[in-house]
Amino acid sequence: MAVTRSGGFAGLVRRAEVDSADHPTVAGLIGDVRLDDVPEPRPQPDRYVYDIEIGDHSAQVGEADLHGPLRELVDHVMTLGG
Amino acid sequence: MVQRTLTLDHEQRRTRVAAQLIAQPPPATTPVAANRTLHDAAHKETLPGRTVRAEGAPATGDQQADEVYDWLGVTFDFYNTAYGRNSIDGGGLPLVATVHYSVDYDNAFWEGSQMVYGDGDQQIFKTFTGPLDVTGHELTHGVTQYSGGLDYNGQSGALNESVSDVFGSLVKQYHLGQTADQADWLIGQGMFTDAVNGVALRSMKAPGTAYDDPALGKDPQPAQMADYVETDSDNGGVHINSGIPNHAFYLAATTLGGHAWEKAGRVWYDTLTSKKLPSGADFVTFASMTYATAGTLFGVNSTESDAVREAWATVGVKVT
Ligand SMILES: [Zn+2]
Repeated sequence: MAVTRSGGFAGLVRRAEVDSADHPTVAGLIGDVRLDDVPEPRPQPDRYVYDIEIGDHSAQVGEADLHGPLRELVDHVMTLGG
Repeated sequence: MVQRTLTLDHEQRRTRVAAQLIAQPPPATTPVAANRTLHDAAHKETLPGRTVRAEGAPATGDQQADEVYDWLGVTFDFYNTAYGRNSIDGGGLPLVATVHYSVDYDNAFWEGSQMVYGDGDQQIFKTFTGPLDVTGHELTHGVTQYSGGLDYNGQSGALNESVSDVFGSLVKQYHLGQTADQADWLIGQGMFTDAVNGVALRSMKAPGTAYDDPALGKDPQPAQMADYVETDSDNGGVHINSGIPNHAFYLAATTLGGHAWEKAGRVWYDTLTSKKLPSGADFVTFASMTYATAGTLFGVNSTESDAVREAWATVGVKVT
Protein backbone atom coordinates (compact mmCIF):
# COMPACT_ATOMS: atom_id res chain seq x y z
CA MET A 1 0.00 0.00 0.00
CA ALA A 2 1.06 3.62 -0.47
CA VAL A 3 0.31 7.04 0.99
CA THR A 4 1.06 10.29 -0.82
CA ARG A 5 0.73 13.47 1.19
CA SER A 6 0.47 16.79 -0.66
CA GLY A 7 -0.46 20.34 0.24
CA GLY A 8 0.16 22.10 3.51
CA PHE A 9 1.64 25.60 3.65
CA ALA A 10 4.90 24.23 2.23
CA GLY A 11 3.23 22.34 -0.62
CA LEU A 12 5.82 19.56 -0.41
CA VAL A 13 4.89 16.05 -1.57
CA ARG A 14 5.83 13.02 0.55
CA ARG A 15 5.22 9.44 -0.56
CA ALA A 16 5.50 6.31 1.57
CA GLU A 17 5.13 2.71 0.38
CA VAL A 18 4.85 -0.37 2.53
CA ASP A 19 4.27 -4.02 1.66
CA SER A 20 1.67 -5.24 4.13
CA ALA A 21 3.06 -8.80 3.81
CA ASP A 22 6.17 -7.57 5.65
CA HIS A 23 4.26 -5.66 8.31
CA PRO A 24 1.55 -7.47 10.28
CA THR A 25 0.51 -4.22 12.02
CA VAL A 26 -0.17 -2.62 8.64
CA ALA A 27 -2.06 -5.70 7.46
CA GLY A 28 -4.16 -5.62 10.64
CA LEU A 29 -5.00 -1.92 10.24
CA ILE A 30 -5.89 -2.41 6.56
CA GLY A 31 -8.50 -4.91 7.74
CA ASP A 32 -10.13 -2.19 9.88
CA VAL A 33 -10.22 0.44 7.13
CA ARG A 34 -13.10 1.06 4.71
CA LEU A 35 -11.66 3.20 1.90
CA ASP A 36 -15.01 3.38 0.10
CA ASP A 37 -16.61 5.08 3.12
CA VAL A 38 -14.32 8.10 3.40
CA PRO A 39 -16.07 11.42 2.78
CA GLU A 40 -15.39 13.54 -0.32
CA PRO A 41 -12.49 15.87 0.47
CA ARG A 42 -13.53 19.38 1.50
CA PRO A 43 -10.63 21.57 0.40
CA GLN A 44 -9.32 23.75 3.23
CA PRO A 45 -6.42 26.22 3.02
CA ASP A 46 -3.01 24.73 3.75
CA ARG A 47 -4.32 21.43 5.11
CA TYR A 48 -2.73 18.21 3.92
CA VAL A 49 -4.35 16.06 1.24
CA TYR A 50 -3.71 12.28 1.44
CA ASP A 51 -3.91 9.94 -1.53
CA ILE A 52 -4.23 6.45 -0.11
CA GLU A 53 -3.76 3.33 -2.23
CA ILE A 54 -4.48 -0.14 -0.87
CA GLY A 55 -4.09 -2.77 -3.58
CA ASP A 56 -6.51 -1.79 -6.33
CA HIS A 57 -8.47 0.60 -4.11
CA SER A 58 -7.65 4.26 -3.72
CA ALA A 59 -9.15 7.31 -2.05
CA GLN A 60 -8.32 10.94 -1.45
CA VAL A 61 -8.80 12.10 2.13
CA GLY A 62 -8.49 15.55 3.66
CA GLU A 63 -6.40 15.94 6.81
CA ALA A 64 -9.43 17.02 8.82
CA ASP A 65 -11.28 13.81 7.87
CA LEU A 66 -8.47 11.46 8.81
CA HIS A 67 -9.68 9.71 11.97
CA GLY A 68 -9.61 6.36 13.72
CA PRO A 69 -8.00 3.32 12.08
CA LEU A 70 -7.35 5.20 8.81
CA ARG A 71 -5.37 7.86 10.69
CA GLU A 72 -3.46 5.14 12.53
CA LEU A 73 -2.71 3.36 9.27
CA VAL A 74 -1.54 6.53 7.49
CA ASP A 75 0.68 7.58 10.43
CA HIS A 76 2.16 4.09 10.60
CA VAL A 77 2.90 3.87 6.88
CA MET A 78 4.38 7.40 6.77
CA THR A 79 6.71 6.46 9.65
CA LEU A 80 7.72 3.11 8.15
CA GLY A 81 8.00 4.02 4.50
CA GLY A 82 8.61 7.78 4.50
CA MET B 1 -10.73 55.49 -3.49
CA VAL B 2 -10.91 59.06 -4.73
CA GLN B 3 -13.14 58.12 -7.62
CA ARG B 4 -15.50 56.19 -5.45
CA THR B 5 -15.87 59.10 -3.03
CA LEU B 6 -16.67 61.40 -5.94
CA THR B 7 -19.49 59.20 -7.13
CA LEU B 8 -21.25 59.54 -3.80
CA ASP B 9 -23.97 62.14 -3.80
CA HIS B 10 -22.92 64.83 -1.36
CA GLU B 11 -26.39 65.62 -0.12
CA GLN B 12 -27.10 61.94 0.45
CA ARG B 13 -23.85 61.69 2.37
CA ARG B 14 -24.62 64.63 4.61
CA THR B 15 -28.02 63.17 5.41
CA ARG B 16 -26.46 59.83 6.26
CA VAL B 17 -23.86 61.45 8.52
CA ALA B 18 -26.62 63.37 10.30
CA ALA B 19 -28.65 60.20 10.78
CA GLN B 20 -25.62 58.44 12.22
CA LEU B 21 -25.07 61.26 14.69
CA ILE B 22 -28.58 60.80 16.01
CA ALA B 23 -28.77 57.03 15.89
CA GLN B 24 -25.37 56.09 17.22
CA PRO B 25 -23.37 56.76 20.39
CA PRO B 26 -20.46 59.17 20.02
CA PRO B 27 -17.51 57.67 18.14
CA ALA B 28 -15.17 55.67 20.32
CA THR B 29 -12.00 57.51 21.28
CA THR B 30 -9.98 54.29 21.54
CA PRO B 31 -8.01 53.70 18.35
CA VAL B 32 -8.54 50.45 16.45
CA ALA B 33 -6.31 47.81 18.02
CA ALA B 34 -5.60 44.11 17.78
CA ASN B 35 -7.23 41.71 20.24
CA ARG B 36 -4.91 38.70 20.38
CA THR B 37 -5.14 35.47 22.35
CA LEU B 38 -2.43 32.82 22.22
CA HIS B 39 -3.04 29.18 23.10
CA ASP B 40 -0.81 26.13 23.55
CA ALA B 41 -2.03 22.76 22.19
CA ALA B 42 0.74 20.97 24.15
CA HIS B 43 1.41 18.71 21.12
CA LYS B 44 -2.17 17.48 21.00
CA GLU B 45 -4.69 18.30 18.24
CA THR B 46 -7.48 19.81 20.30
CA LEU B 47 -8.17 23.45 19.52
CA PRO B 48 -7.71 26.04 20.80
CA GLY B 49 -5.81 24.56 23.77
CA ARG B 50 -4.73 26.23 27.00
CA THR B 51 -4.66 30.05 26.99
CA VAL B 52 -1.13 31.32 27.50
CA ARG B 53 -1.31 35.01 26.61
CA ALA B 54 -4.13 37.52 26.29
CA GLU B 55 -3.95 40.95 24.65
CA GLY B 56 -1.65 43.28 26.53
CA ALA B 57 -0.27 40.55 28.80
CA PRO B 58 3.51 40.27 29.21
CA ALA B 59 5.60 37.85 27.14
CA THR B 60 5.18 34.20 28.14
CA GLY B 61 8.80 33.15 27.68
CA ASP B 62 7.60 30.55 25.17
CA GLN B 63 9.43 31.74 22.04
CA GLN B 64 6.83 30.47 19.58
CA ALA B 65 3.84 31.94 21.39
CA ASP B 66 5.62 35.27 21.73
CA GLU B 67 6.72 35.33 18.08
CA VAL B 68 3.17 34.69 16.89
CA TYR B 69 1.79 37.32 19.28
CA ASP B 70 4.14 39.90 17.74
CA TRP B 71 3.48 38.84 14.14
CA LEU B 72 -0.29 38.92 14.62
CA GLY B 73 0.17 42.49 15.83
CA VAL B 74 2.30 43.47 12.82
CA THR B 75 -0.15 41.87 10.37
CA PHE B 76 -3.08 43.61 12.06
CA ASP B 77 -1.20 46.92 11.89
CA PHE B 78 -0.34 46.36 8.22
CA TYR B 79 -3.94 45.80 7.13
CA ASN B 80 -5.15 48.69 9.24
CA THR B 81 -2.51 51.20 8.17
CA ALA B 82 -2.19 50.20 4.51
CA TYR B 83 -5.85 49.54 3.70
CA GLY B 84 -7.89 50.81 6.67
CA ARG B 85 -9.02 47.26 7.45
CA ASN B 86 -9.89 46.52 11.08
CA SER B 87 -8.72 42.91 11.48
CA ILE B 88 -9.40 39.89 9.28
CA ASP B 89 -13.13 40.47 8.86
CA GLY B 90 -12.93 44.27 8.74
CA GLY B 91 -15.01 44.31 11.93
CA GLY B 92 -12.40 43.87 14.65
CA LEU B 93 -12.41 40.06 14.76
CA PRO B 94 -10.28 38.84 17.69
CA LEU B 95 -7.08 37.12 16.54
CA VAL B 96 -6.79 33.64 18.00
CA ALA B 97 -3.75 31.41 17.49
CA THR B 98 -2.53 28.05 18.77
CA VAL B 99 1.12 26.99 18.87
CA HIS B 100 2.71 23.57 19.55
CA TYR B 101 -0.01 21.80 17.54
CA SER B 102 0.48 18.04 17.16
CA VAL B 103 3.91 16.34 17.12
CA ASP B 104 6.74 17.32 14.72
CA TYR B 105 4.03 18.99 12.66
CA ASP B 106 5.50 20.59 9.51
CA ASN B 107 2.67 22.98 8.86
CA ALA B 108 0.70 26.09 9.76
CA PHE B 109 -2.88 26.75 8.69
CA TRP B 110 -5.91 29.00 9.02
CA GLU B 111 -8.63 26.78 10.43
CA GLY B 112 -11.59 29.02 9.49
CA SER B 113 -11.65 30.99 12.71
CA GLN B 114 -8.13 30.78 14.11
CA MET B 115 -4.44 30.23 13.30
CA VAL B 116 -2.66 26.95 14.02
CA TYR B 117 1.12 26.37 14.07
CA GLY B 118 3.18 23.20 14.33
CA ASP B 119 6.70 23.16 15.76
CA GLY B 120 8.34 21.71 12.63
CA ASP B 121 10.17 18.38 12.71
CA GLN B 122 13.65 19.98 13.08
CA GLN B 123 14.89 17.74 10.25
CA ILE B 124 13.44 19.71 7.33
CA PHE B 125 11.71 22.60 9.05
CA LYS B 126 13.05 24.41 12.08
CA THR B 127 10.17 26.84 12.57
CA PHE B 128 6.77 27.99 11.34
CA THR B 129 6.41 30.84 13.83
CA GLY B 130 9.69 32.62 13.02
CA PRO B 131 9.06 34.12 9.58
CA LEU B 132 6.51 36.97 9.60
CA ASP B 133 5.29 36.11 6.10
CA VAL B 134 3.90 32.75 7.31
CA THR B 135 1.56 34.56 9.71
CA GLY B 136 0.76 37.16 7.04
CA HIS B 137 -0.02 34.35 4.58
CA GLU B 138 -2.30 32.47 6.97
CA LEU B 139 -4.23 35.50 8.20
CA THR B 140 -4.77 36.51 4.58
CA HIS B 141 -6.59 33.19 4.05
CA GLY B 142 -9.00 34.64 6.62
CA VAL B 143 -9.25 37.94 4.75
CA THR B 144 -10.01 36.03 1.54
CA GLN B 145 -12.63 33.96 3.36
CA TYR B 146 -14.37 37.05 4.74
CA SER B 147 -14.19 38.73 1.31
CA GLY B 148 -16.33 36.05 -0.29
CA GLY B 149 -13.68 33.40 -0.78
CA LEU B 150 -11.80 31.80 -3.64
CA ASP B 151 -12.63 28.10 -4.11
CA TYR B 152 -9.63 26.12 -2.92
CA ASN B 153 -8.94 24.06 -6.02
CA GLY B 154 -7.59 24.56 -9.53
CA GLN B 155 -7.01 28.14 -10.73
CA SER B 156 -9.20 29.82 -8.09
CA GLY B 157 -7.32 27.80 -5.45
CA ALA B 158 -3.97 28.89 -6.88
CA LEU B 159 -5.24 32.50 -6.74
CA ASN B 160 -6.26 31.97 -3.11
CA GLU B 161 -2.73 30.75 -2.38
CA SER B 162 -1.15 33.55 -4.40
CA VAL B 163 -3.13 36.28 -2.63
CA SER B 164 -1.87 34.86 0.68
CA ASP B 165 1.73 34.88 -0.59
CA VAL B 166 1.33 38.41 -1.95
CA PHE B 167 0.09 39.93 1.30
CA GLY B 168 2.37 37.67 3.37
CA SER B 169 5.31 39.18 1.52
CA LEU B 170 3.85 42.70 1.73
CA VAL B 171 3.46 42.44 5.53
CA LYS B 172 7.15 41.57 5.72
CA GLN B 173 8.12 44.41 3.36
CA TYR B 174 5.98 46.83 5.39
CA HIS B 175 7.59 45.70 8.64
CA LEU B 176 11.09 46.11 7.19
CA GLY B 177 10.22 49.38 5.44
CA GLN B 178 11.38 47.96 2.11
CA THR B 179 10.69 49.18 -1.40
CA ALA B 180 9.88 46.68 -4.15
CA ASP B 181 13.49 46.56 -5.36
CA GLN B 182 14.82 45.98 -1.83
CA ALA B 183 12.49 43.07 -0.97
CA ASP B 184 13.59 39.43 -1.27
CA TRP B 185 10.16 38.32 -2.58
CA LEU B 186 10.66 34.96 -0.86
CA ILE B 187 8.03 33.02 1.06
CA GLY B 188 9.23 31.16 4.13
CA GLN B 189 12.83 32.36 4.14
CA GLY B 190 14.55 30.96 7.24
CA MET B 191 12.23 27.99 7.77
CA PHE B 192 14.44 25.23 6.42
CA THR B 193 17.11 23.63 8.59
CA ASP B 194 20.73 23.80 7.41
CA ALA B 195 20.31 20.22 6.11
CA VAL B 196 18.11 21.45 3.26
CA ASN B 197 19.52 22.98 0.10
CA GLY B 198 17.13 25.88 -0.33
CA VAL B 199 16.60 29.52 0.64
CA ALA B 200 12.81 29.42 1.08
CA LEU B 201 9.63 27.60 0.02
CA ARG B 202 8.68 29.86 -2.85
CA SER B 203 10.12 32.76 -4.81
CA MET B 204 7.78 35.34 -6.32
CA LYS B 205 10.72 36.90 -8.16
CA ALA B 206 11.88 33.63 -9.71
CA PRO B 207 9.31 30.85 -9.20
CA GLY B 208 10.90 27.40 -9.36
CA THR B 209 14.23 28.45 -7.80
CA ALA B 210 13.53 28.48 -4.04
CA TYR B 211 15.00 25.03 -3.32
CA ASP B 212 16.66 22.11 -5.06
CA ASP B 213 17.36 19.35 -2.60
CA PRO B 214 18.13 15.61 -2.86
CA ALA B 215 15.39 14.71 -0.36
CA LEU B 216 12.75 17.34 -1.24
CA GLY B 217 13.28 17.59 -4.97
CA LYS B 218 13.19 20.85 -6.86
CA ASP B 219 10.82 23.78 -6.33
CA PRO B 220 8.04 22.88 -8.84
CA GLN B 221 6.54 26.36 -9.29
CA PRO B 222 5.98 27.66 -12.83
CA ALA B 223 6.22 31.37 -13.67
CA GLN B 224 4.35 31.05 -16.96
CA MET B 225 0.84 30.01 -17.97
CA ALA B 226 2.41 27.71 -20.59
CA ASP B 227 3.95 25.68 -17.72
CA TYR B 228 0.71 25.40 -15.66
CA VAL B 229 0.75 22.03 -13.86
CA GLU B 230 -2.36 19.82 -14.13
CA THR B 231 -2.44 17.46 -11.13
CA ASP B 232 -4.90 15.75 -8.79
CA SER B 233 -2.77 16.30 -5.69
CA ASP B 234 -2.81 19.40 -3.48
CA ASN B 235 -6.32 20.34 -4.69
CA GLY B 236 -5.09 20.70 -8.25
CA GLY B 237 -1.64 22.00 -7.39
CA VAL B 238 -2.72 25.19 -5.62
CA HIS B 239 0.74 25.62 -4.05
CA ILE B 240 2.42 24.99 -7.42
CA ASN B 241 0.43 27.10 -9.86
CA SER B 242 0.32 30.07 -7.47
CA GLY B 243 3.78 30.78 -8.94
CA ILE B 244 2.10 32.28 -12.03
CA PRO B 245 -0.04 34.98 -10.32
CA ASN B 246 2.75 35.46 -7.73
CA HIS B 247 5.16 36.38 -10.50
CA ALA B 248 2.61 38.68 -12.14
CA PHE B 249 2.31 40.60 -8.86
CA TYR B 250 6.09 40.80 -8.51
CA LEU B 251 6.37 42.20 -12.07
CA ALA B 252 3.66 44.81 -11.50
CA ALA B 253 5.14 45.85 -8.15
CA THR B 254 8.72 46.16 -9.35
CA THR B 255 7.67 48.03 -12.50
CA LEU B 256 5.83 50.58 -10.38
CA GLY B 257 8.55 50.78 -7.71
CA GLY B 258 8.28 52.30 -4.25
CA HIS B 259 6.42 50.54 -1.44
CA ALA B 260 4.67 47.61 -3.13
CA TRP B 261 1.68 47.70 -0.78
CA GLU B 262 0.77 51.23 -1.90
CA LYS B 263 0.06 50.69 -5.61
CA ALA B 264 0.17 47.05 -6.76
CA GLY B 265 -0.90 45.92 -3.28
CA ARG B 266 -3.81 48.37 -3.28
CA VAL B 267 -4.94 47.10 -6.68
CA TRP B 268 -4.86 43.46 -5.52
CA TYR B 269 -6.51 44.33 -2.18
CA ASP B 270 -9.36 46.27 -3.77
CA THR B 271 -9.91 43.46 -6.27
CA LEU B 272 -9.98 40.82 -3.53
CA THR B 273 -12.38 42.80 -1.35
CA SER B 274 -14.56 44.21 -4.16
CA LYS B 275 -17.35 41.70 -3.45
CA LYS B 276 -17.45 41.27 -7.25
CA LEU B 277 -14.74 38.64 -7.49
CA PRO B 278 -16.41 35.28 -8.26
CA SER B 279 -15.30 32.54 -5.85
CA GLY B 280 -14.53 30.33 -8.84
CA ALA B 281 -12.46 33.01 -10.62
CA ASP B 282 -9.77 31.76 -13.00
CA PHE B 283 -6.52 33.59 -13.76
CA VAL B 284 -7.99 35.54 -16.71
CA THR B 285 -10.97 36.72 -14.61
CA PHE B 286 -8.77 37.80 -11.71
CA ALA B 287 -6.23 39.47 -14.00
CA SER B 288 -8.95 41.36 -15.85
CA MET B 289 -10.42 42.54 -12.56
CA THR B 290 -7.04 43.80 -11.30
CA TYR B 291 -6.65 45.69 -14.57
CA ALA B 292 -10.11 47.24 -14.16
CA THR B 293 -9.34 48.09 -10.51
CA ALA B 294 -6.08 49.78 -11.52
CA GLY B 295 -8.05 51.82 -14.05
CA THR B 296 -10.54 52.89 -11.39
CA LEU B 297 -7.84 53.77 -8.86
CA PHE B 298 -5.25 55.41 -11.10
CA GLY B 299 -7.02 56.06 -14.39
CA VAL B 300 -7.48 54.09 -17.59
CA ASN B 301 -4.19 54.02 -19.56
CA SER B 302 -2.33 55.21 -16.48
CA THR B 303 1.20 53.96 -15.80
CA GLU B 304 -0.31 51.76 -13.09
CA SER B 305 -2.98 50.07 -15.19
CA ASP B 306 -0.47 49.56 -18.04
CA ALA B 307 1.96 47.94 -15.59
CA VAL B 308 -0.74 45.57 -14.35
CA ARG B 309 -1.77 44.54 -17.88
CA GLU B 310 1.86 44.08 -18.94
CA ALA B 311 2.67 42.02 -15.83
CA TRP B 312 -0.12 39.56 -16.60
CA ALA B 313 0.82 39.48 -20.29
CA THR B 314 4.41 38.56 -19.36
CA VAL B 315 3.23 35.46 -17.44
CA GLY B 316 0.97 34.52 -20.36
CA VAL B 317 -2.37 35.75 -19.02
CA LYS B 318 -4.19 38.16 -21.33
CA VAL B 319 -6.58 40.57 -19.64
CA THR B 320 -9.97 41.02 -21.28
ZN1 LIG C 1 -1.93 28.98 2.07
